[in-house]
Amino acid sequence: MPSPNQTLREVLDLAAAHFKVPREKLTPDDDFFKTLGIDSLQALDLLTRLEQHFNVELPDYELQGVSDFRTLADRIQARR
Amino acid sequence: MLDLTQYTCLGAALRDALDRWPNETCLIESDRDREKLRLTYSDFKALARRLLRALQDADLKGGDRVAIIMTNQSKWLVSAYAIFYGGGVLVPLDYKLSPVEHLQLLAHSKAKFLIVEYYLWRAMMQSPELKNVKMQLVLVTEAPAGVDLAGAYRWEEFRRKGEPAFVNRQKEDVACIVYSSGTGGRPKGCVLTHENYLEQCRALTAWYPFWPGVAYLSILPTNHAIDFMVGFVGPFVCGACVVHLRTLRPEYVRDAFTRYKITYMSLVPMVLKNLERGLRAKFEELPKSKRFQLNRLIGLNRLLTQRRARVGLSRILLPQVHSAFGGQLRAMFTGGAFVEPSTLQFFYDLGIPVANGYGLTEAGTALTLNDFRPFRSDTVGKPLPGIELRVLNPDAEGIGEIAVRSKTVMSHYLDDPELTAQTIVDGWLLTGDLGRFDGSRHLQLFGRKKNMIVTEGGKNIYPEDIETVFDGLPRITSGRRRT
Repeated sequence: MPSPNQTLREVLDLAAAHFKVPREKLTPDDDFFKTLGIDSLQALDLLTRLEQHFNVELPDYELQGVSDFRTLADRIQARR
Repeated sequence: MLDLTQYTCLGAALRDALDRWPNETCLIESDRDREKLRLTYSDFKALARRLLRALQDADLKGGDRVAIIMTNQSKWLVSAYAIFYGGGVLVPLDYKLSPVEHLQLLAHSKAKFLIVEYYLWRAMMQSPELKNVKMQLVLVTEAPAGVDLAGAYRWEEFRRKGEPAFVNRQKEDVACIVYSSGTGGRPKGCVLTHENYLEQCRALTAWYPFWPGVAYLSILPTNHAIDFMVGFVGPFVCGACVVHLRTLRPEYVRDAFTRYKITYMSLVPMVLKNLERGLRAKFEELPKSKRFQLNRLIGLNRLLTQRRARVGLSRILLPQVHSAFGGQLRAMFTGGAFVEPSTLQFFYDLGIPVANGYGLTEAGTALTLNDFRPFRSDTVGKPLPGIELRVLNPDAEGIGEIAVRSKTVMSHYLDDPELTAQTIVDGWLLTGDLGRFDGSRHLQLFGRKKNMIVTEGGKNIYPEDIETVFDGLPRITSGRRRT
């Protein structure tokens, strides 16, 4: 299984590509709503993209209360 | 629909609804594109009765408070019906709150029972505050096999055979305690009676009726007043069907329209805006000639629906747009936050009326709603039947605080006589919202009273107006400059 750090890196790469922001602007503890300038529906859209990439299914509630990339990556890692 | 004037409580009205349409589908639960459950009114009744029998064996009595914390799903409605049938008081809590906030409100409401979804209970179990909340019984839904539930029971296994006792309630008895805000220092638990709900249901269904065959798509949280009414009580007392979608992802919301031939839905402005963006993008992709043709048809539809909405005609003029929404959509409801008039106009021109309304938990659900006779994108509509509204101390422009008097207004705030006395004065509920009526009795909102800024020149400035202007400018998002 890929390491948690690898998952985190891939989450950051995918978020940057999906919302067309420079990868170097994103750090693991960023509030992705603020850094990416997105609303909760767009965050769900990102979740769909991450599911496709990691081949996991994440219920919407996994995003509840989550606003930083690190926690998001942890949630994905737990389901891999 | 049932004649609600004949009933004194929700439990009796819902009980008769289940008996009246036993073979109609009342509830569908879908997770993404997977349908998980489909219940007829008869199936629903059987599920709820077994649950209630077990709750009554666990000492549920008339007037006992039972909290529900769940995302939208069938177990929410089955549990709520069982509570009402047994004469209990429902305390619907917002699943989006934090575990500490949940526990604070459970303590404040003095709920004797709790019915909660597993992932929320898991978080509450980890909170040290849990030991401060005294509950007799906790039922947890969808708990994985083998996990420790800290003494709670599994909802799916908590059932008993045998006839549950129906406990009748009077109109003035408490049906629900709904928290409108105040998870911090001062929780605001709105105590709503059975009469409040029965009257609200009558008012809403007078303008937007349900009937067997109607499908309502429920994506707003059911703990909110609006979905509780139009995504549960309203459809059920009319024999209609509620579709629960356990995701808010736009692609599955769009899919649900066609899959279930949705008739009505309620949505927050953000979701509405998202639908608009998706449609506009699709229109942009059309070849020039087709886009030209579409724009002409939209213009024609706009002309023909100037005086009133004509959904049947709009479906003929714009069949592809309507088929993308399942072909049966009659109206969508929105409110609770500012909705851009251009968005409402966009949908109206496509023949998909979006009824913009205004309401607050303290007054039941909705006070005003657009009836599309004619369509007005710049207002929150007219007062619903039985709702009296007035503007207090209007300024030179006719703007003042909105006050309401109706049978839908809550009884009081739970354990807070001081706040109740400040809020309900001489039978009028002071909303704290600023508005004015235009010549056709349509209500226009101008923000919250406490947000208003009075300039040195005595001019009233409303922050919401400033945000509206700024939101239309480039490089500005949600009233804040984008950095």
